[in-house]
Amino acid sequence: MTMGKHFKTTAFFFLLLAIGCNPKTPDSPPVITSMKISPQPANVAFGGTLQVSALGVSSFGGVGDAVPVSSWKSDDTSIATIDSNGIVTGIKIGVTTLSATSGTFRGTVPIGVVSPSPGSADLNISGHAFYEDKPYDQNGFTKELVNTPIRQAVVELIAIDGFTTLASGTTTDEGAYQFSQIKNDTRRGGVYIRVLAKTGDESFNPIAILDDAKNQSSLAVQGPPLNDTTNDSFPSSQIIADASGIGGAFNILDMFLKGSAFIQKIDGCAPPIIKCKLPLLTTYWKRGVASGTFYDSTSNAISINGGLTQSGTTVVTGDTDEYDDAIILHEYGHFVAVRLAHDDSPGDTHTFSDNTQDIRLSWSEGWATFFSGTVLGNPLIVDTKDQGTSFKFDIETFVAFYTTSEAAVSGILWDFFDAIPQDDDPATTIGFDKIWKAFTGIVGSATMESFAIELMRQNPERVDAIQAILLGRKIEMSPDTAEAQGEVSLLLNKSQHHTLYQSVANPFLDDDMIPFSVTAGQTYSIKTLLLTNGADTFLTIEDSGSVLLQNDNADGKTYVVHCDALSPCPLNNGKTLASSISFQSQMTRQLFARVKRSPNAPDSTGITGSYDIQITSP
Amino acid sequence: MGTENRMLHQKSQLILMAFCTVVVALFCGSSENALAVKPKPPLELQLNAAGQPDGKIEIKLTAIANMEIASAELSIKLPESLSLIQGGKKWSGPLSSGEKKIVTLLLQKISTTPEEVIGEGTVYFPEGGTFVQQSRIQINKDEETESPPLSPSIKQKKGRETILEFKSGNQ
Repeated sequence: MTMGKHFKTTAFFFLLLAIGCNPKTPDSPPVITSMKISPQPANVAFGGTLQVSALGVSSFGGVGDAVPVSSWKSDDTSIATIDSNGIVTGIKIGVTTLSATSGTFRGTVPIGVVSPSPGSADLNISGHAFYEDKPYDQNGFTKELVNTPIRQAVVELIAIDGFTTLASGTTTDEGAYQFSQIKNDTRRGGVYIRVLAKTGDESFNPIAILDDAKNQSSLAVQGPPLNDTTNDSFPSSQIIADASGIGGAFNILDMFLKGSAFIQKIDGCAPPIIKCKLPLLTTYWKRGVASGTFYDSTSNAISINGGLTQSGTTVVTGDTDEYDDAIILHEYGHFVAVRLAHDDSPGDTHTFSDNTQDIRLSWSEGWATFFSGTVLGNPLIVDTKDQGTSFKFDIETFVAFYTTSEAAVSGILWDFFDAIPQDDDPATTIGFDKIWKAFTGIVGSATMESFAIELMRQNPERVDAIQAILLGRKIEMSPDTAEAQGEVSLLLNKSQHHTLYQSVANPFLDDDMIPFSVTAGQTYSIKTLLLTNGADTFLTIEDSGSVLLQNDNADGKTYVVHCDALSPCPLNNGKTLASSISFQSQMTRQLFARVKRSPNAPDSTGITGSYDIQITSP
Repeated sequence: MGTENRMLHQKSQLILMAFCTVVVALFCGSSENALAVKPKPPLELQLNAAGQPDGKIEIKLTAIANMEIASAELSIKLPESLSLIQGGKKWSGPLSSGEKKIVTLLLQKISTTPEEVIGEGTVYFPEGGTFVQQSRIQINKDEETESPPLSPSIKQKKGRETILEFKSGNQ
C-alpha cells in the first residue's frame, strides 16, 4: 500500500463521517425546504387590518424573499379573515391560525385579535380547568365523557397582544386557578388562560407531556378569549380539554400524578425525602399516532402512542392508549422501578401469558402491572381499542405459574399486597410498604426469586405465608424432600422432582446428589427434564467423588451468559437448558447423579428453579 | 520510506480508520435501546367484514399467535340476521409463535338491522386456565366517523419552549 492509498483510505473514512453525519452537501445551492409566515407573532385589532406574507426558508435555515401564495386560510373566520392578498381583518378578540399554501409548502402562524383599547390595570381571573376523561370497563370504553379536574398543571395568563405571559401558577387538585391584580394596561386588551400538560417547577416529581421526541413541544389547552378592556373581573372562567383533541395528554398527566402520589405515600418516601424523588419524566403523546407505548430507560422517557410494536415494526391497530389508565401506569411502574429500585430487564416485546420468559423481564413486567393495579386499586388490567378491548385480564385470578411468567409475578405481588377481605387471608397480607422495602433491598439481579428471598429475609415471621403464596404459583422457594429427609435412590423409568433451592438461610448453590444403581453391560440415559422457574441444570455422573461424565445442555450448545437483545437468551421452556447423559455401565454398582445450577447459566435464568430427573434404559 | 516506518505508518492508518469507524458508528449509528414495551395478549385478533354482491358478506377472523400456543380455538358468533352460506364457524388447534390463522365465512344478509358479529379466540394453557379474547364489528351500521383531531391553534416560543395550544371545548 502506498502513502497515497493510505491518504485516500483515511480521507474516504472522513468523507463517510461527513456524509453520514450531515446529509446536506455544503456546496449545493440553497433550496427552499419550508415556508414561514411573517410577522410572528401576529396581532391585529378588531376592525383593523394587517398585511402578512409568506417567506421561503432555505435548506440551511435562512429566511428569504416572499414566495407566491396560492391560497390563504383562516381557521376561524369569526375571529379573523384573510383575503387572497394576505390582508388580515380582525373581527373579534381571540386567537386563530392562518395558513398559506405555496406549491407543496404550507406555513402557519397564530393570529391574535386584540381590542384597540388598553387592557385592564387590575385584572382578576379565576376558574377551573377540566379534561374529558373516557371511563372504561372490561368491555372497553363506556362512551361516557366525564369532566375531570386538571390537577397540579402549569396555568398561565396570556395577553393576546404579543402573546405575553402576564402571570403563571399551578392548578389545585380541584383544577382551580386564580390570578389577582394583574396589570395589562400597557398592551391592547384581550387575554386568555392556557393550561399546560406539565407540572410546575415546584413539583417534587416533575412530569411533562410533549408531542414527540423530535419537536419536544409542550401540549396545552387554551381557554376562551376574555375582553379585559370592558371588564376587570372574570370569576368563573372554565377550560375543558376535549377527548377528541388534547384531553388525552391531561389524562396521561393525571395518571402519572396518581403514580407519583402513591410513591410518596410509601413509608419513608414522603417529600422532601430525596431517595424517593424522581427525575423529570418526559412523555410523548400525539393523538392518532400509533408508534408504540413503552418506557425507554436510556432517555428516561415514556411514549404513550399505542399501537403494537413488533420487532421494530409498528402495526397500527386502532389501539390508542392515552385513556388506558392501567397501561399508562404500567409504564410509570417501569419508570419507578428503574429510578428508585432495580431493573435488569432486557426489555423488548413480550406476551403477558408467556411463562417461558427471561426471568429479569418477567419480574420487570410483572412488577409494572402490579404497580398499575395497586395505584388504581383495581386488579383488572384493560387495554382498550377503538371497539372493545385489545385484551383484559385480572391480575388476581388469571391462571399463571412460575417466576418466568410476568402474569404470575403480578399475581403473587397482588396476593402479598392485597388487603381486600373477601377472599384473601389477612394473615398472608404483607402490604405495599414491605413489598417496596424488599424490592429496593434486592441484592444482584432483580427477579421474582431474588425479591422473594429478600422479602423472606426481611420478614422471617412471614416465611410460611410467603412460601404458601409462591407455591400457589408453582414456585418452590423451599428445599426439596431430599434435602429434608436424605436422598432417595432414583429408580429406572421413575422421575424424581427436585429444587435447586437449598435453605432459607442459604438458598443458592444447592447441590443435589441422587443415588442410582446400574448393571454391568446395560446402557442408560439419565436426564433432567421439565425445568421450571428458570432452572438451568448441570449434570454429572459420579462414583465415590470422581466425576465420570458431565453435561450442561442436552442439545450440546453453550449459551451466552450475558445475553440480551443482541445476543438472544434461550427460552426458559423446560427443555432448552436441560441436561442429558447416556452411557454403558462397565460394572454393577451404585453411582450418583449430581445436579446443580449450570456454571454457564445465562442471566435470563434463575439462581434456583425446579426440575425432574429420570433414568431410562432401553 | 523504510519497511519499519511503512509498517508503523500502516498501523497508525489502521488505528485512524478504526477510530473513524467508531466515530461514525457512535454519531451516526442507531443502537437499539432495550424498551419496556407494554404487554401483548397471546393472540392478535382482527375481525373484518367485506360486502359482496346480492347482499352477501364475507367475514374474516384473523389470529396471529404472539407465543407458542398448544391449543387455541377460534370462533365467530353470528347474529340471526346473517345466514351462513360457506365456511366453518370454528377452528381449533396449535399455533406456533408468529403463525397466522384465518377463519373465513361467506354469509347472506337476511335483514338490514344493525347487528354485532363477535370473533373470539380462546387459548388453553397446558398448566391450566384459559384466556378469551374478542374482536367485534357492527354489520348494517351507518358509518360512524370520529371527529377529526383538532389541530393546535397556536405554536409559539416562550423562551426556548414551543407550545402547541388546542382550543378549549364546550365554550
